[in-house]
Amino acid sequence: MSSLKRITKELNDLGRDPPTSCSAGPVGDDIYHWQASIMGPPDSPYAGGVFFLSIHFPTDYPFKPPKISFTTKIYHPNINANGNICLDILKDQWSPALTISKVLLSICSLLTDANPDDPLVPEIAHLYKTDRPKYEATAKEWTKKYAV
Amino acid sequence: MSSIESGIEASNSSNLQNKSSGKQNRRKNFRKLQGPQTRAGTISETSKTSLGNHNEEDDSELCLICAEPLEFISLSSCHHKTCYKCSFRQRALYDKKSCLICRTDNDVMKFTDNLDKKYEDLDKCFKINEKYGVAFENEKTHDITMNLLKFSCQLCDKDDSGSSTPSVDYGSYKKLNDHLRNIHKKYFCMICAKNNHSFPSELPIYTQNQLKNHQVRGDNKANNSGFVGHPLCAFCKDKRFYSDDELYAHMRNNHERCHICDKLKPNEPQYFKDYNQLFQHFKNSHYICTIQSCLDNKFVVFGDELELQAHILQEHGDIVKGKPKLFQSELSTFIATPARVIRDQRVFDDDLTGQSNSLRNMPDESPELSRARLEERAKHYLGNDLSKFATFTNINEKYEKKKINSNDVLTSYTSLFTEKEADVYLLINNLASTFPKNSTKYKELNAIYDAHEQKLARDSLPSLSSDPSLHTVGSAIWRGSSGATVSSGGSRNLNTSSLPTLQLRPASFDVFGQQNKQVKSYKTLTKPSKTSRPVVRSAAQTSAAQSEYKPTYLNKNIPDQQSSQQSLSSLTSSKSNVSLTSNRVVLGKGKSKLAAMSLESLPTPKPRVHIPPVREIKLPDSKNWGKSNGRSNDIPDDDLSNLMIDNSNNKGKKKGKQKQLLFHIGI
Repeated sequence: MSSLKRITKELNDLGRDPPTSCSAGPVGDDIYHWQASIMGPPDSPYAGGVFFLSIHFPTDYPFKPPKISFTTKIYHPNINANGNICLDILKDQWSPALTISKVLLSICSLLTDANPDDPLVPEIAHLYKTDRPKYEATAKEWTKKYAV
Repeated sequence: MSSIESGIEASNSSNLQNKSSGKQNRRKNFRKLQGPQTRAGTISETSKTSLGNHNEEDDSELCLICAEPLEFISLSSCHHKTCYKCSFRQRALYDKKSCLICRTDNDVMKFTDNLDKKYEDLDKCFKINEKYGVAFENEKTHDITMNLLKFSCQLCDKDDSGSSTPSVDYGSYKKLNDHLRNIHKKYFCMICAKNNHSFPSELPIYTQNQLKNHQVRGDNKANNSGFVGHPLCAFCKDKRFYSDDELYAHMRNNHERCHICDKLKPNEPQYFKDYNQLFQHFKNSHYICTIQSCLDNKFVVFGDELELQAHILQEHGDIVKGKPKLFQSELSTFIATPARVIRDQRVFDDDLTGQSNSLRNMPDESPELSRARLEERAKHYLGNDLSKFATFTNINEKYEKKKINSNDVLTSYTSLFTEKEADVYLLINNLASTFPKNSTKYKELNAIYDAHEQKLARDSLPSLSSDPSLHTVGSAIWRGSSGATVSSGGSRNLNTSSLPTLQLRPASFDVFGQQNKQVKSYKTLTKPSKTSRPVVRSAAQTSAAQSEYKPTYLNKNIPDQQSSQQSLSSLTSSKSNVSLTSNRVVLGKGKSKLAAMSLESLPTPKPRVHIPPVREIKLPDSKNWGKSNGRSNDIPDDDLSNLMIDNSNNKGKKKGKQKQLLFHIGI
């Protein structure tokens, strides 16, 4: 299967050249199931938090995008209570040339700049648009509560 | 999306520049392409490091997509190079014309076996396949590529080992599978064949047992593919699907899912075969609207009784008009339970209002997760420096074996983590939670963290809480009483939350003492009560209005006592009578108009309910205090009676609190 070789290569690249502020690796023996971690970006209300994500590779990876979700609770307009992430490159804008490392960095930048115009949680998006300080206070509180 | 595209554009332009430069440079750029480019800040860093590691492995000879060595390549007009298999898979099996790397739509790709050629160099071609939009440079590339699509038998081809070209093309998976079954007694997995986007030659062949195993449990080879078999629909017999995605689509289209359970437990979807079964579930587990039009409409069902009542009142108001009292009374009786239900359902509400007091107590993470968090944080702070990380784990081990104490940990952390963004106290906090909650290690580490947090809180008062007024009150009192209380972690927040009630007490005590004096003489009675008013209620009401309330309240008490409480001693009743008359006199002297208005507030039922139990305690002090308190509650109740249910819930909560307080003081 072509996906196995590609995933192994990504794992090696991650080990050799780890990206700043995130990490990823397989859970146990199953190389198709990874756990990743993201440090909350310093210029965001998630600063100081360590967020965990679970990654499942489909058998037809990289032609199909990996399934990525947060396992740590996070208060964000594009991430819902189940940890599902609303990010175009994880769906229709996926490109086989993208790697886990790039996707994780994209998620990092989603944490810094949320996209309230395409929200997954409308309530949070509304607060984000109308009362930014309150959104940030709540996000900080959640970070402190669940990710510190 | 924009960030990705800009990344891709950047790589495009760098590739364009490279056209003129030598091969060496192009390779470097290919290597660069693999570095993370999605975030502007990190591009320069990562590409630098990747150039540093350049000679470790010659990645430019590997396909960027499948990581296989390049043998035949596919070139696009957007100057991206992949292997022919990946490119052809995208065009023939996925039926997409977009570039695998930058998603540009390309009408024609050029396939060649000369790895150093560029798109522009290939002006002549052997053959163009219009259907897939591929131009082949020579016959060899063409044959190899087109053979990928042939439904030829892998086993027959292996037998005639001499020829490299497949002998027979069976034309379809079905026919090829028939051939396999009849001649070789072997099988394809037809579910994979339909969904896997594999070329026929790539599909594994199974014996009958292997096939069953593959579909039910997954391939139990040691390849750890994570594949656990094709999932089965629980309602349709023997219908398997390629993956959970396909099964999910089937469930959505052919079966029913309970949307109420989805809200309650988003992670445990409840499916039912059809609407009949779902309806039974609605009836058993949820609150269904039984009015015929709603039954016909289907799916009119609610998670709790309150929502159902709201629906009935709103949608079927005309039907239930005849008996509004029924609903009113029901509403008031179940207020207690729905409040709980709603809070369980939406943890969000609590957080959104910023009322969560239990910051530290909430997450009960497993020690493993805590350890993972500690290590990830440390790695990040140390910039993935392995030797420093070893020092870090060494410190932790020493502490675990009690070779050093918690303060030593703090100092060695401080010297180890010199990065600006490194927060040593968060590390301490993480380290603490790797130990059991009741261990001394947990407590002493948490004490360090809490001391630091308090210091921070004192240094910057306004920033920490979303509600500044609450915070200042809390911290001010906190400072006052800090000597006496709390060194351990969890109790800190509890304290701040209880502080406001502490403040209430002295105020009520004042009233209390003054009202005691009421019995003796009424001059002292009226004056202090006026002064005490602003302290007791800050809200809405003028002192004039308050002065009316007092007498009316006491007026109400007389019938109460006389009718309901016969057991009271004659002494207490006579006392209260004295105080009543005295109040009346005061009123008469004061503003009679207001007194007349105050009569309207008389018929509120609740004070009657509250007063007797207070009296039974036979403490004259608490009695009077209770009155004043109860009164202040009743007034808003009247005003808000028309408002929403939510509000009445809150009222209920407040009352509960005050009642409790009352008892504390009384006892």
